[in-house]
Amino acid sequence: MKKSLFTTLVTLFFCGSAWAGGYQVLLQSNRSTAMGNIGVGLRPDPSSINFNPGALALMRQNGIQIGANLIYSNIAFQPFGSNQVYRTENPTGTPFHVFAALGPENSKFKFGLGVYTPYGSSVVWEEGWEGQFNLTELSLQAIFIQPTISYALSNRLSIGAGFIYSIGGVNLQRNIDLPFTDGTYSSATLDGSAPGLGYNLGLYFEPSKRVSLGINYRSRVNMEVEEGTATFNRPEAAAGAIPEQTSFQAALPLPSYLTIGATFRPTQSLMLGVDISRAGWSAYESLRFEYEQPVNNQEVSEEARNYEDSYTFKFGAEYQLLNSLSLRAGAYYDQSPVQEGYLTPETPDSDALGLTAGLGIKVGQRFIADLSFLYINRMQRDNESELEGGLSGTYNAEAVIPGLSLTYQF
Amino acid sequence: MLHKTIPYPLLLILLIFFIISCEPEIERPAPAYEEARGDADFSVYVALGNSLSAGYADNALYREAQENSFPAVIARKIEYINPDLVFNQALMPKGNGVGFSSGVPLGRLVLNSVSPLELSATPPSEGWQAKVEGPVHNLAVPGATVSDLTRPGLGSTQGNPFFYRFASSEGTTVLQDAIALNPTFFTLWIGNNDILGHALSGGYFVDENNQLAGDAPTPVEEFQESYQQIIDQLTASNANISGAIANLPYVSQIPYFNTVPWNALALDAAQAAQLNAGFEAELRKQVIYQVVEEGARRRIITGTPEQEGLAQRVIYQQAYQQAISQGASPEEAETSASQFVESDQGQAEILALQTNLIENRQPEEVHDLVEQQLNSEPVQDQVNQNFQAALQADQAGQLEVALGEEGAARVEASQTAQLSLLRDLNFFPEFREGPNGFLVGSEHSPTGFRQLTKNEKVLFSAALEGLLSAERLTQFDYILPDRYALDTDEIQLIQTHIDAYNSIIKTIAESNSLALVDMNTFFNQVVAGYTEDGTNFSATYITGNTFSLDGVHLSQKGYALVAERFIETINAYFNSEIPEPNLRNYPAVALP
Repeated sequence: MKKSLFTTLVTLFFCGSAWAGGYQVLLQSNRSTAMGNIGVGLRPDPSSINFNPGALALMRQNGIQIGANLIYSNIAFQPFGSNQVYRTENPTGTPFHVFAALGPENSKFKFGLGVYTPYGSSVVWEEGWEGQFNLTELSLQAIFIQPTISYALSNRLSIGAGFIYSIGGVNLQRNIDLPFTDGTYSSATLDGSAPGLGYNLGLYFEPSKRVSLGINYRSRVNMEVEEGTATFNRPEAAAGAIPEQTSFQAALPLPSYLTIGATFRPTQSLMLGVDISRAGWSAYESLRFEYEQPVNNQEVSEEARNYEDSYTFKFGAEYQLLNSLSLRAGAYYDQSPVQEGYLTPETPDSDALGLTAGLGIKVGQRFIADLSFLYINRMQRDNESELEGGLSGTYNAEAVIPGLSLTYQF
Repeated sequence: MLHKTIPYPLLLILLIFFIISCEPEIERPAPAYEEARGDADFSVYVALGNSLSAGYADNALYREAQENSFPAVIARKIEYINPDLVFNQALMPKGNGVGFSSGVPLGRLVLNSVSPLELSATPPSEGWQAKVEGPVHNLAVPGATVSDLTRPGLGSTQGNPFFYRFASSEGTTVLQDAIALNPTFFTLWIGNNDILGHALSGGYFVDENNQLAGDAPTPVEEFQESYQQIIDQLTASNANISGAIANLPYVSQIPYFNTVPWNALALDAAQAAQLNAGFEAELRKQVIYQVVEEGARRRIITGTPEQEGLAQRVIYQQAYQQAISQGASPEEAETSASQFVESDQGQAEILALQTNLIENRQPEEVHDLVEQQLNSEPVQDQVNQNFQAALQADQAGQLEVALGEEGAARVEASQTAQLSLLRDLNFFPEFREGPNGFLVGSEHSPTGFRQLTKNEKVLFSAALEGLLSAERLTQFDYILPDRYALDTDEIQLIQTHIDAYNSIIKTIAESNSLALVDMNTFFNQVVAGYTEDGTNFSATYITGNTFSLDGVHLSQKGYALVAERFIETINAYFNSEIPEPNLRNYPAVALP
C-alpha cells in the first residue's frame, strides 16, 4: 500500500517497529543505530567488537562502552472475516551491550571482551486472543560473550577474530484447547536454557584518509535446548493423554550475519556510510519440539517455518557540528525472512523501513555519550496460513526505541 | 521551521508521549456488502428451528451456550459484511439455564468425573420463566416439531415453556412472530423432534400396564403438509426471501445411543456355561410342558381306553343326525350310528378327522371343542400333574419313563429345533466367554426378550438411571426393559422415517429455490471422524468435541462447526462471501 507523507507522519504517532527481521536485534551501539545501523566500515570504537573485530586493532585509544536501549513495541492482529483486533501487552525490551577494548600502547594487538544481545524477543498477547492456542507469551534472549583479538597488519589494514559463547533462554507459553469446568483453558509452558558457540571475524581497511572499508562475518549460533522443562496445566481427566511435566529438546538457529560496508568523508566534518548485510535465515526451517513423554500421543511436535535468507541495506551520515557534538541520521531497509503464509504470533514479520537520528556528545577528553532514536515503518501484512492450525489474518507491529551508550576512553 | 515555532520542552513531552502510547493500527477496507451478499439479501435474518438452533446443550438452554448458538455465530459473520445487521436472542438469565427431565425443570448437566462417569444436574436459573422483550430473531423453540411452528397457542402457558418466554402473545404462532420481523433471509432446521421422541423412548415398548407405549414418529404425510405450510407462509410474506434449510441426521448415530456398548456384559467361561445351562433348562421345561399338553390334546381327540375320543363322538353324532333327518326314531338312529362307527367307512372317517384335528387343528368348530376340553379344570390339573411327573423323571434322567420313548424323543427334537430357530432370530441368548450382548425385553419375541447383537443400541438413559451399575451386572440374567434399547427393526424404522423426511425437505428446497444444507451426509462424516482446522471431531461422547454432556445436543464447538457448514452451503448457493468462524474460539466439553 502506498502511503502519503501525511499518513506516514500520522503513523509516526503510532510508532515504528523496533527490531530487525525475525528475532534479530540490531542495537549494539547507539552511535551505529543513530546512523541507520551501519558499523562494519566505521572508524573503530569498542562496539567494533561486534560490528567488525578486525577494526579493533586500529582503535587509537582503549575504551569501555556500556549502552542499552528501550524497546517499546506492540503488535496488532485482526483475523480475516472479523472486526476484532487483538493486541499484545509487551513488556519493555531492554537489549544492552558492554564492550571493553584494551591493548598495550604501541602494540599491534588489541584485545576485547564484548557482552551483547543480538537476538531477542518478548511478546505477551492479550488474554483470550484468537491465537491463544498458538502462543500466549514468548520470551527469548541470547547473550553473546565474545572475547576478541585484533591485529593490525599495517596502520591501514587490520584483522580480528572473536570467539562467541552464547547464553540463551527461551520461555514459550500457549493455551491448549481443553477447557476446565470454570471456563479457563489448559496451558503449556516450555522453558529451557540453550548455550551455543560461534565466532566473529572481521577485516578492516583504510585505503585513504577519506575512505574506510570493512567486512564482517558472524557465524551462526545454534541455541540448543537439551533438557527443557515442559509443564502442562490440564484437567485431571486428561492426565492420561497429557503429562503434568516432561522434558523436551528443541533447537533455534541464530543465523549467520555477513556484512560489507564502507564510509566516505567528502569533507572533514561529514561522513557518509553504507552497509549491506545478509542474514542466513534459511537455517530456520522448522520449530521442532521433542518430548520425553508423549503429549497427546505425540512425542514430536513440529511446525514449518521455512525462513529465507534476507538482506538489509543501511545508510548513515554523521556531521560533526562542534568538536564536542556530532549530529547523526540514517535509514535502513530490512527485508523480512518470513515467507508468505508462514507468519506466526511470536514473530509476525514484514519488510521494514527504519529511520534513525541521534547525537554524539563528547564530555571532557574521555567521556562520550551517544543518543539514538529509531523509528521504523513496518508494513501491515496479511497472512493466509500454510500451517495446519495456523493463524490467518492481518498483522501490524510497531515500536519506538530510544537508546543511550556511554563510552570511557583511556 | 518546526523547532522555531514549538519550544523544545514541548517537543520532548510529545516525544515521550509518543513513545509510550505506541499502538499499531490495522487498516482494512470494509467489505462491500453489495458484492459480498451475492444473490441473497441479508438485511433481516431470522432463525427457525428447535433446540439445535437455540443453542441447547448439556440438557438445558443456558445463556453461555445460547450466545454461541449456530444462528448467533452465523449472524456475527453476516455482520462482518453487513454491519447494520441486528440479531437478538431470548437469552436466559445468567446461570445454569433450564431443561426438562421428565417434566422437572433442571439446570444444565455438569461433569463430576469421567471414569467412572458421573454427571449431575444443577438448579435452574432464577427467573427463567420471565418474559423476554422482543424483537427476537432467533425463534428456535426447544422441543418443537414441524407442526409446532405453525400451531397457535404454542406460546401460551399450556404450550411450550421456551416459546412462552418470547412469544408476542398467547395465541400467536412461531411463524407469525417471525414474519412480523419482515425477514429477508432465514435458516430452518426442523424435524428432528418428529422422530427423536420415538428413538428416545427406545422405539415402541410394552409398559407396566401391558399397553403398547412410546412416542410415535410423525406420519410422513403430516410431516410434508406441516413443512410445506412453514415455507408457504414465509414465501407469502416475502416472495424474494432467501433461506437455507437443513435436512436431518440419522438420530441413531448420536452418542446417546452409542455410548453404552451393546455388549458390555462380560462373562468368563464358567459363567457363560452356567447361564447357557440355566436358559436351556428353562426352555426344556417349556418344551416338556408343550409335549405333555400336546399329549393331552391328542388323547382328547383320539380317546383313551377309559374315554371315548372326540373324533369318534363327532362322527357318531353326524351319523345319528343323518339317520334322524332321514326319518328314523331316536333308538333306530342310535343303532344306525353305532353300526356306522364300527363299520370300515366309519373307522376311516374317524381316522381322517383325528388326523385333521391333530395336524391341522381343523375343522375349526370341532377343534374349538377340543380346546374347551383341554382348558377345563380337570384336564389342566391332569396336565400339570403329568408335567410335574415328567419334570421329576427328567431330573433323574429318565424322561422316557414319564413320556414314553416317543414323547421323550419329541422333547429332544423340539428343544433342538426351537433353540436353533430362536437363536437365529436372537430371541434366545447364547453366552460366550468375553463380551456378550445384553438381554432386553421385546414384545415381538416369543420368549419375551432378546439378546442384542452388533449394531443394536443401548440408550444412555440406562447408564444415567443406574440400570447398568456394576451391581446390576452381577445379576447376569438381568433383562433390560425394552425402552432402553433399540433393536435392528427399530433402528430401521427410524432410518426409514428420516429418509422419507429428508426426501421431502430436499424437494421443498428445490421447488422453492432454497439452499439445502446436507446435515445428514455431514453427520455421517463426523461419525467417521472429521478434522477441521487442526481440531478432530467425532461422535464419541465427551472426547469427540462435537456433542455436549446430554449425548443428544452439540457442544458450542459442535454448533460452530454446524454454523461453518451452513455458511459454506449458503456461500456456494447464493455466491455470497460470508466469512467462516474460527472453530478454536468455541469450547467443547469442559473436563473436571
